[in-house]
Amino acid sequence: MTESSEESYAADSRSGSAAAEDSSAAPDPATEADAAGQSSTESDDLEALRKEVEETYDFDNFGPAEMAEMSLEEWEAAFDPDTWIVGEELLDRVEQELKARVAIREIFAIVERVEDRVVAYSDEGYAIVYADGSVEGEGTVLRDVKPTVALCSMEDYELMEAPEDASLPEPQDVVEGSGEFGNLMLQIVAGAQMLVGFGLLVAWLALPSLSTVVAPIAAIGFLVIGFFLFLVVANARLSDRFRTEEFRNRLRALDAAGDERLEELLHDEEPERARSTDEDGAGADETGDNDGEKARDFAGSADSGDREDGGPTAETRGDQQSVDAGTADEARES
Amino acid sequence: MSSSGSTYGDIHRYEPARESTAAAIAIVLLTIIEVVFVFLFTYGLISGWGLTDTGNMYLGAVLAVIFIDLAFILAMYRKEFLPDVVIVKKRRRKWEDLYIREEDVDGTPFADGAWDHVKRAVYPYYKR
Repeated sequence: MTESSEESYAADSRSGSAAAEDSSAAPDPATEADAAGQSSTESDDLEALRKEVEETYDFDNFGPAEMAEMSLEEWEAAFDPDTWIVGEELLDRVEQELKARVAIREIFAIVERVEDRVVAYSDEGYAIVYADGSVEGEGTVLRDVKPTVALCSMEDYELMEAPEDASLPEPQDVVEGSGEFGNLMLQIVAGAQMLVGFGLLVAWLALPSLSTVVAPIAAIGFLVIGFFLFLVVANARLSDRFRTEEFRNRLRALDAAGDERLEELLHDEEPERARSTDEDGAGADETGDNDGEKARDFAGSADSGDREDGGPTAETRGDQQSVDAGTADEARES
Repeated sequence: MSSSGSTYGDIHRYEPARESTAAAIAIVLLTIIEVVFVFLFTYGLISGWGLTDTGNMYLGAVLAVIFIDLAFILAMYRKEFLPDVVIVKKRRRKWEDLYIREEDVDGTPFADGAWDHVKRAVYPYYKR
């Protein structure tokens, strides 16, 4: 796990040709020549490397710092990209899961499948899921969608069944939530308490036999409870009216924004996306962000992290760190 | 944080109450018991049951039944007869948020003045 052991390993595997694996200039031609020379013993090497990696790193206690220490070859050896579902299948799974979650109202969003991505958006945020498992967006929708994508990329995760009509309710279908029955029962209880409270007070004033302090205290207690219960009912009715209206308004706003917002989102993303895939690794501004994301995701959960940022990402996503993308492609060619 | 912009008061989920039959029957029974015992307690108090040892214990037990029953009524009401609402609220500062950056010590106020805070706490849609 120490710096020196890793250095020595790196020197072994590359026959001492490559000096520092993170310096962007040196390793590309060196590894290529190296790989060509050793192609016969490739699989043996991979096995040995895998074993070595398993010995070197403690994966039960693996964080961003350890990840930074690993070289790309070690990474590729240790994590099999086929472990994770990606591509079309991932999008199908994500779409179904998101719709199911919208249906049980865990996520407030409209979910749509547009060509090679799944878009979830609401009036306050959006999330776009790409076939390689990367997610981008903002707001609460992004926060809700991210774990879904991580789960869906795992083979042993069983998807939720989405009902036929898995969408947010129509504004006019939203009914006020608390029925009158519960309120009525509470009012009966409150009424009885109030009545008894008044009765006790009057009796205390009128009857000479009730001279102790017990009766007025009990009376005040009953009156307070009765008052509190009436307040509960009043609050339930009032806040219900406001909240249903607010919920309807939000649904209406979402309906109205609907298609325009979708268009807007897709067109906003289009040029940026195209640019970053064209210039392979030259998208310097995004690189930093992505790395930060990588580290954080990994710290959060190893499961979701390494799928998003492991093998398949390097070729489909151009915005990986330039060195990584370059060497990964070459490694695959050889 | 994770959400940007002013989303205070946004309703994320609004599901009507379940009001299952079993709950309805239960709350009716509990209400009847409550009313009966409240009147029983008052009658006992006025007619002086509490002046003897056993009578006193009896009155105390009746009062206990009243309160426990009331607790169950409220729990039932809250669980079965109120809608399921998820609403965006201001996240209060927690201990782990303190002193992340020096200038963030006081957090971001979402209202000016104590009275404004009260108004917003009572009615989240006040001046969005």
